[in-house]
Amino acid sequence: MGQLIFNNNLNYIGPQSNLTYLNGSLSFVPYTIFDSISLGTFNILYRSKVATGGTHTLSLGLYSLTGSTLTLANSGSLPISVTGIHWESITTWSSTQNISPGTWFWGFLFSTNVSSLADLFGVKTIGAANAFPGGFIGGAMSESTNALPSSFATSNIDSIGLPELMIPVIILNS
Amino acid sequence: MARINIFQNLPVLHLANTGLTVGFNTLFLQGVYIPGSISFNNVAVIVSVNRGGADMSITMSLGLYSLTGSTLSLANSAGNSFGFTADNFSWRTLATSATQDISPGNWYLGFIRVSSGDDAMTVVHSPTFGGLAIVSHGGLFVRGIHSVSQTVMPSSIATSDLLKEIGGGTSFYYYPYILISA
Repeated sequence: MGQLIFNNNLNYIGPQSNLTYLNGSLSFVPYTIFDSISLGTFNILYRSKVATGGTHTLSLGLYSLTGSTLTLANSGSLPISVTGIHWESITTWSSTQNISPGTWFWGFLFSTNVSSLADLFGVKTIGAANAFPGGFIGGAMSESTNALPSSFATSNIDSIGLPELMIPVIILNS
Repeated sequence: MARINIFQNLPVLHLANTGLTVGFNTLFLQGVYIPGSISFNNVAVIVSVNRGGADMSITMSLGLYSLTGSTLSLANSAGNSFGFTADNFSWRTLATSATQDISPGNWYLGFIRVSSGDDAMTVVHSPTFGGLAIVSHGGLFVRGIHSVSQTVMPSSIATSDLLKEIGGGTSFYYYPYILISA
């Protein structure tokens, strides 16, 4: 197997904004890594609606899936205090990791000290009338949380509709 | 790694958009992952023109680059000049300059449309982002344009000469649909 220098989930910036994430919401986004890559810089395109004096914090977890259990493999965080549309990067991680190829899940947990939301740019899916009938492909918790869980049962994901399956554009560099 | 016979830089053709005029002498660069070995044999784009009643000729070039450190190096290229006698979208094949078996991994696709005196050429392209990002992302260059006008594919490019995509309009931060078939 080779070693990648970058890994994209989309080869372009998705045109849709307002992939809205709520305070205290934990969402899991699938991410296929095509070959080994050193966990370096994680980039997302972000619109902050931070009110004056407010801050957002994004807690980000890298999860592997075995059976129906998501297990935290690595984590980073990103405090954001600027407004507007901007790329945000995470470069500091809980441990050094060379990510093996396969399907991983990013856990996005937003928290804020003011009443405001965060938007990411990417693509939305279709709002189907029924839940996806196959294996786990991501989703969100309806209950608020304040920390990334070290492990998580996919059966506890209870929101799998249109907004919960949205995919933010993610650029990962080694 | 297995061999593949088809590589597309956009996931599915029917999700691509049309209608944007391709700026001439702008080198677009898009980092991609090619998942299997593929012959750099047939390279195609889909273009249309607005001739304004008069037939026209346009030159297009595609470059295949690898990145080492902070330098993109041209591994191969394809290009052609085309005469247009109709305004409808049509497949155009770019002739490759050398036989190459592309190995799996990260590559960069470069695309230039050389000026023919007007800019009435459109391509099937990626979705566009019309937002205005304040700053570009961290880490190495993955997608964007060359900061200086180009009429031929450079043999090497310093990434410091490239502009990462930051939105700001549809003129520069979209990518032509490219199909490589063995």
